[in-house]
Amino acid sequence: MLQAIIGGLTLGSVYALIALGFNLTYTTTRTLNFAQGDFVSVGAFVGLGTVGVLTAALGADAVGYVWLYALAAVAAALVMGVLGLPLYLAAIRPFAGKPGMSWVVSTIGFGIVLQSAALSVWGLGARMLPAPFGDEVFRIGEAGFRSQELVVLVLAVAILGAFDVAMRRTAIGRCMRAVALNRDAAALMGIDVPRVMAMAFLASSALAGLSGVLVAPILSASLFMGVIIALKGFSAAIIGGLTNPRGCMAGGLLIGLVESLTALWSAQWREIMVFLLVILVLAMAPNGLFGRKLVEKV
Amino acid sequence: MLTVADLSVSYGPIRALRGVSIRVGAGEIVALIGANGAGKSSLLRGITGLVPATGRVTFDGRPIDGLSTPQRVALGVAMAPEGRQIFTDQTVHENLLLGGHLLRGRPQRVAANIDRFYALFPRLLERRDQIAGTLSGGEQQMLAIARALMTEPKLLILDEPSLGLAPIITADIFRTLVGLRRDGMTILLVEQMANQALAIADRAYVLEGGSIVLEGAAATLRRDPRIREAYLGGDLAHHAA
Ligand SMILES: Nc1ncnc2c1ncn2[C@@H]1O[C@H](COP(=O)(O)OP(=O)(O)OP(=O)(O)O)[C@@H](O)[C@H]1O
Ligand SMILES: [Mg+2]
Repeated sequence: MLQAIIGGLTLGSVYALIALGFNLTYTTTRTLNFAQGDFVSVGAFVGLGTVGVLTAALGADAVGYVWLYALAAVAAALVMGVLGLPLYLAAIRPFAGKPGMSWVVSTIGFGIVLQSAALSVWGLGARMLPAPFGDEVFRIGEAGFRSQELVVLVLAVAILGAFDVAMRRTAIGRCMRAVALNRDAAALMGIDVPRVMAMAFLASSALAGLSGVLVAPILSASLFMGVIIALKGFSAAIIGGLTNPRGCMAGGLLIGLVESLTALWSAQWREIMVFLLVILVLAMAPNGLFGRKLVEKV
Repeated sequence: MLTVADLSVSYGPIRALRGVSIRVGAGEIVALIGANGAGKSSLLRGITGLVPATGRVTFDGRPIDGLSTPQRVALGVAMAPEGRQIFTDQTVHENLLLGGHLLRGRPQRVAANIDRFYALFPRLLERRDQIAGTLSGGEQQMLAIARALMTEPKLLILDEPSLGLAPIITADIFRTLVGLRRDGMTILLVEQMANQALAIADRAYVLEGGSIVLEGAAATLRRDPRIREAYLGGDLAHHAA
């Protein structure tokens, strides 16, 4: 039981990172990056690649693997974050603020391009990214869990917390919230609205890339692993309320818990329960548990 | 200070503004009056770059029609938009800080400005940490004006500051505008409360169906029978009610 809860919170915290990414782009641009899953997968492989390159360059034991892993995480966040800019420019900017949903197709298309490019570099196979603190199983009473689960949980919660504070207490957070509420009013404050939107995509893509490196040691990385993670992240955002960053975080944890507690009883029912939960929540609260309806100003 | 020449604004097939030309001189209060849907807000949105417009807008001798809204704001054009549009999910203080966005990197100057506008609107200081969405209508309008002033403008544009406010509060706000002008501010004021706007303005334009149909000294327009009938009558009826 405790084991399932830790496992659920771990996966849930990753869904929360993805959900936060959806929240950032949705509130600032009213669009979603449906390539988020590919950003997760490719992020994991950028991490793998970084470890490979550094090991080759420095020799296997030059620095501890923990440091290599940390660098890989940073590299994945940076590379995927930077790739969020062409995504914004090519797939979002032409369509943001206009009626219609062309951005759905354009972001999916961007994801396909990204995935294809990655496939040509890394191929179809799954790879293992070793966990920074090894694969030993720790025990607390009956429950056993792996060090990576704690790493993911602690890092994800720290990042979620840092975002929460940043959105509330920093100038850039205030700008993001201003743009999210009213673009014209933000522009009248002298805020460069397209730039804030681009930053939202940068941050959301960086979160996806980092998530990839975080889960790779748990799930084993393939270029297809991101889709389901992003789908659950999206469900988390829908459940918690796309407009509410804290709601998105809570939604992620909730989905992770439901998934892992259901698995105690029947592994096949995992995904079914998650999507039943989504349907149930939406039936009761169309804007999610903590969301609100955004009134689009034309 | 501001010259608008032959400005047109269209929303798809709807031509909201048809070749409007106006001028606002330094230190003036210029009123722009007109009925609902006359195109007043469209003109202001064209001047500030919030809608695409054709025609020329010159500010301080520089063409600004090719610039983005933030660039125009940086040059000294500020607007308190129609319906206030304050950031309702942030505190009063945070709204003012957002007005200081262009002065980031100069926190002391931003803080000094904030103190100035708290002195101008003591009600805002009392409500410093209140979420702006919970302010009364009058307080929200004060915040919208203070927030616009935070950008250190040379020209302050106001779109119907009296909207939804009791006459006493409106009079308060208008007194503040007169005070601002005394301190050197140039003001372009859009109003449906034509009588009050004309009372504090130097000159005025009347907009109808997207075109300027009358212009002149505010005092003259106030006595103009066409204005009295079309705009001031409604005002008086409103007060009588
Ligand atoms: N975003 C828009 N899309 C389509 N039509 C618009 C839009 N904004 C304004 N219009 C139309 O343009 C015309 C002028 O509108 P505008 O808001 O400029 O008038 P106004 O004089 O400010 O009116 P009010 O006193 O009611 O604020 C109106 O017919 C209005 O319906
Ligand atoms: Mg208007």
